[in-house]
Amino acid sequence: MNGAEYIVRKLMSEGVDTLFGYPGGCIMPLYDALLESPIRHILCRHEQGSAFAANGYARSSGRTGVCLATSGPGATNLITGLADAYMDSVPMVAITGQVPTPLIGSDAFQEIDMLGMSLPVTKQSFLVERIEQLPEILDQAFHVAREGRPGPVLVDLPKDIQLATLPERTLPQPAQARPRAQATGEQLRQAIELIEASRRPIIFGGGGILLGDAIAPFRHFVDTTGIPAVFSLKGLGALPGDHPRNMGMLGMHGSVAANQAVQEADLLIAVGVRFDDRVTGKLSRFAPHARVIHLDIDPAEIGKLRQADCALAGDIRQHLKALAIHLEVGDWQAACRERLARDGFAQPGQDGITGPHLLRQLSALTRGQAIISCDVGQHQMWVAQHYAFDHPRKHLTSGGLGAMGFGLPAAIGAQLANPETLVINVAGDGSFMMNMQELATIGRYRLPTKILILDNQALGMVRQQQAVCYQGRYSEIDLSDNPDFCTLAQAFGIPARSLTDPDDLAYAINKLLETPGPALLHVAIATEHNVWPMVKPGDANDQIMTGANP
Amino acid sequence: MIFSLHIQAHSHPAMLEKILQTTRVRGFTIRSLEVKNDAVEQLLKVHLTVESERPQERLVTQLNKLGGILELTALHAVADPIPAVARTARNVSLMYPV
Ligand SMILES: Cc1ncc(C[n+]2csc(CCOP(=O)(O)OP(=O)(O)O)c2C)c(N)n1
Ligand SMILES: [Mg+2]
Repeated sequence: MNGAEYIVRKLMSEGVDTLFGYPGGCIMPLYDALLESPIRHILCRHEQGSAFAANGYARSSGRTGVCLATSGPGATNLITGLADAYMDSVPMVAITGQVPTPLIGSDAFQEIDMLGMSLPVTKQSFLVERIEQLPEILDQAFHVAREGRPGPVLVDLPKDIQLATLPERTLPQPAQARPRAQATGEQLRQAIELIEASRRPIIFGGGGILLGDAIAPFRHFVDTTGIPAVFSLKGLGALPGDHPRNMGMLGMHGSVAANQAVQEADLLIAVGVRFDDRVTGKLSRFAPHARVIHLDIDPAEIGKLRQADCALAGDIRQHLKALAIHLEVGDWQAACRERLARDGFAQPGQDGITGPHLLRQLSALTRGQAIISCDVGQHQMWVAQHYAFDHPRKHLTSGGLGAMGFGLPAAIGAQLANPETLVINVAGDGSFMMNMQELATIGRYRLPTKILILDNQALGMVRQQQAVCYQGRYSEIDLSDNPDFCTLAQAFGIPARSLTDPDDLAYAINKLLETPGPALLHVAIATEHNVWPMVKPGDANDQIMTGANP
Repeated sequence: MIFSLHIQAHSHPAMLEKILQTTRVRGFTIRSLEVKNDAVEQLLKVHLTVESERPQERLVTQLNKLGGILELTALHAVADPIPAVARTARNVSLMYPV
């Protein structure tokens, strides 16, 4: 058995059923071994597409996403997808070919120091220097990707190692999870005292709720305590959209209601969050009256940006269970509900087709149950504001990195992981063109993925910041010469139509959803429409601007 | 604040780079650095003295979670009133001011 054959054996023992990749010189032995394996390989049309597809596969399934690339340009093309997984704690393993070990350091053809290059964007990176190390490194790679706070791992694999011989009886040895530190009884007692003493408690939930497999205990905690909850972009769906305690998203494009509730709260129960600046605005003025209980599996997140009065590092499932006590906060609940009714996200007043109209309609027609894979920009914020997710696993969004071009390939990965589920890529006209070569992947595998392009003929989010922060001095945001997206889709064998008449809105979305196989709906929306409300970068959340669109 | 760190780690390729990179990215300047690579035990022994306006905790918690770190001891500078803290990666129990 050679190294490449062993890798296939290991992938199978890890239950990997799908690989996303692109071949080339230094990874050819592995591609050769794949010919004899039952593992499905998806050929994306760019390595960035492979990395995002593996990323979307992992986000939507909770399993580890695996991607392959050759050395040099293949490997460097993976970097953005890995960085995205690193920022959003997505379990991934990337295997890259490398030049043969004797050539490393000689500036050989397609030699790039991937080990060094990947360090800041992975949880851990490995270079296999000798064949005997291969089994243990692969065991560790899969373990590290999933363990604790998940993340991407890179294994750089010289070509000669793939061809070297391992004893036939070598078997994978999956690493054992090591016990995690948990909060002490004293810390939990202290947290309960803080909760009991609070008059205006708020839960601030983030991506850690899903990553910690804590949806059920989280919902139980909310229902038992009755504490209202606000969410970061990645926490959306942790409560169902219509849950009476769900106050939706806070932060830069959060609702006035959610932001105000946090500014007034006397206790912030932060669950699986990292106090990102898009959420907190000016940190020193965030939740100024609140004491903080912080629950997170990663001790490095606790106290990193906001000092916690009570730090509960460890498994949030256990901690949420321990904190689920009955409380009397009826007045505060009523105040929050009232405020949400007044200052939540509303359908805009104007007629015509707007982002909010579209997303509300999509949310209603799919009952919040589709997997939505967004790109980055205004449309991404409209999804967060107006699509009522029933589970965070259905919301695929590049949160920490904010990487345009994420949506289409991530939707592909999600569709392959969830063949029976409706998967929709909500794209911006700018973002879509960053990975539109993946239309070929959708076409090739006949994936029933739907694409909804919100075409405002602009880099809308940048335009909005130029409007608000740069006195309307628009610089390089015009996309009025966009291609004809329908013709483009059709060139890849994907049926497509354009929506122009506002009266056809529900009809057109229904038509998109009902079309068997892949389909694209292109919707032209006004360039001038901005996402409201908005906290300017650097401002405090209490300086939130409530603009209106023309 | 100036403080020093004693680190023992697996001598993986790039282990030292990762330690130095983490130190830089998290906002700590290296004052001095001493490294020994124990080939027999496959151990990397690093003694770092760093300076920063940021709390020591910020660096210690980030280094502590790197794959391959076996032992990490952080010592405060003499002038610093806070007592020494010692932690091992196997038994992480970080305490925060409450
Ligand atoms: C790869 C990448 N490059 C640049 C940016 C900066 N950026 C953020 S949003 C945005 C505009 C996105 O335009 P579009 O996809 O059309 O979405 P819209 O805001 O118009 O809805 C840009 C350029 C980014 N986030 N990612
Ligand atoms: Mg746009």
